[in-house]
Amino acid sequence: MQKERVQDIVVSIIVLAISFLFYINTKTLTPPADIFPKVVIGIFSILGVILLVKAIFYRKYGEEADEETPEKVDMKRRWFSITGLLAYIFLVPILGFYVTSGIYLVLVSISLNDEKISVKSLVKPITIASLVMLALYGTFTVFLRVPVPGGIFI
Amino acid sequence: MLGELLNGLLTSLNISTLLIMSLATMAGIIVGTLPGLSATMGVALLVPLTFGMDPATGLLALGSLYTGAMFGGANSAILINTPGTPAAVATTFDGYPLTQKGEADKALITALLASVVGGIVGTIFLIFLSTPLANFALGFGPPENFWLAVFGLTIIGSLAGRSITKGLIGGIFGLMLALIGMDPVSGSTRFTFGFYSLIEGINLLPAMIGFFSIPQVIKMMEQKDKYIAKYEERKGIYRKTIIETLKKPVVLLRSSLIGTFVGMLPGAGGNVAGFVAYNETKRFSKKPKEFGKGNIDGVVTSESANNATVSSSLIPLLTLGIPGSPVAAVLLGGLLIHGLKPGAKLFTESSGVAYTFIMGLLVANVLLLLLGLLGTRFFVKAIAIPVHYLAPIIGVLAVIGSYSIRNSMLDVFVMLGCGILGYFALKVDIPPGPIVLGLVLGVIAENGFVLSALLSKTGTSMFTLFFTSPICIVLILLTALSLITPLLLNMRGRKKENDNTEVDKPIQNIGG
Repeated sequence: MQKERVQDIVVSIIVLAISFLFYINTKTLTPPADIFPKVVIGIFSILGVILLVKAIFYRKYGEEADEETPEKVDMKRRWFSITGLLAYIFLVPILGFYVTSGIYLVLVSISLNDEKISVKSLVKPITIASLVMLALYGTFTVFLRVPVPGGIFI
Repeated sequence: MLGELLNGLLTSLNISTLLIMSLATMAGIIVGTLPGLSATMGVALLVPLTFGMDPATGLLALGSLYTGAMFGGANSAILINTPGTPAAVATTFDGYPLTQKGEADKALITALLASVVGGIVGTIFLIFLSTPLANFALGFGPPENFWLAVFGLTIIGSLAGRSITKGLIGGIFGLMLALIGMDPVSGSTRFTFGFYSLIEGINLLPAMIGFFSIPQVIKMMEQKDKYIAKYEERKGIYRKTIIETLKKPVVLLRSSLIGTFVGMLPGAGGNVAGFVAYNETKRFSKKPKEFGKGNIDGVVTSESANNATVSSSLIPLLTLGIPGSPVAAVLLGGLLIHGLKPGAKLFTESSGVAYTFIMGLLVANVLLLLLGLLGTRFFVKAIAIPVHYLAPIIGVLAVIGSYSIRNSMLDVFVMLGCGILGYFALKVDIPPGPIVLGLVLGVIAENGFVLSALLSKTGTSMFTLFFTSPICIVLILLTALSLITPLLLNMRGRKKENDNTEVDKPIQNIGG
């Protein structure tokens, strides 16, 4: 309950900060182009204030939230998945789409699998990653002829 | 006209034409299922392949692919919570919860059947009412488009999670994302915060892929579940689901009609139709609280509405020569390449091809039903893939899907940014639905507003423009109704609850 209250206060502060940031940028707009953005930013900041007021003064806060079962979240896995995605996407234009994606698929599937690492346990993810890459190559490059991000490799 | 329609039907039932249409429908289902590959892209890629075909067959191949792609979006929406096409966004709201409940097969079959019904209703309107409907669509100017977008925004109430305020914050944030890029009046850059490449604005498709697929990928990775849902093949599920879906004629027909009307409006399309129909079905439902938690009506309404737009989006194109949607614009190219002139003369000078194309759309829907029923058995197997393989595969598809829209890494970075933002927003109870809705409607609302403001400089007052046309008045009334009805229903529900608790109270408690 208290956690949700703090969470909402943080969200409302972020909302007000974004509104402020956007509002500064409206200074360069000329009428009538500035009306719509100003109205939207105004509504956004009002909603931020409403959320802040509710978070501070509303007594029955978060009663409904308590009824639901909390999710089983592994924080280590969360940050691994986010940094993994960031690294993968930043490496795509450097190494090439197919190579980076293949490596990403193998590494993520091995690290998320709870099995002990052995030669046998590595064969399956490598085979699956290769098959997926082949299917993607066939679909996008050969059949649809859609360009994919290039790099040092393919 | 009836003779020409019959001739058209017979031509489209030619074996070689049926074969080509079947292949195009299958290709459409695949294109629609893959996030990022839209119906527009699929149709555009197929156009060169139709050069060697006779005009009717070529056009039917394009129409079949469009029909298949519109349904295909539901597969990924239901199975992995990532809409394959923007039109399938509303399908995720109840489709994925059904998968989590172990009812993926039911959701997929329902989506298929609803798509076919929507497609047929839309085509019937295209056949019999295209001219009056095209004239109605022409009545939609900037002020009408503005009010349509405002009406669409009232749907946020239906899409918000536990908190309406946070749902509204999400929706308005989506509107603000739509502001990024070029100012529609002066053409100068705005809200790019120093990133010059953002001048092109936030493209809907990568943003949508990001908001839906990346939070899903992270969620799948952070939880230690082996599969996204348990699934066991059930005997007789096909027959049972088909009967159950056909027992919902009101939801099917209302959503198909909404899809037909919204689809023919230039600038709207399947995504807006899906949202509007979802809102209306929830509003008329006896169990509105079940929506978003796996109510099958949510899948029925979204899919019948978006597939109804396939044929109705062709109404302005075929009758007036005006393409009302990106796919219609590509199809216009297809018509011109085959030597056909869309507009009033299409039905007189090239009536054979025109009626074959229209009747062929009915056949395409029947083919979709047959191929979809066969395909569902395979699609549903996707949830049997262990999470440690499925999650990174979705990530890879999200990257290639975002990149292939404009061959730009910027779109991939936008997808990633929106995805990570969407993940943390979801953690604080801001669902992705309202954000994407705001992004979709923001552009329509702003263009409508700014163009109206410019029109007012020619002498007509803003009041006359915004508040006096019959379509504007109807849309304003619908907006008011959409805002008031949930409040009234809520009040009535509370009153009923109070009455019930008073009746249930033991006598000794009265008066303390």
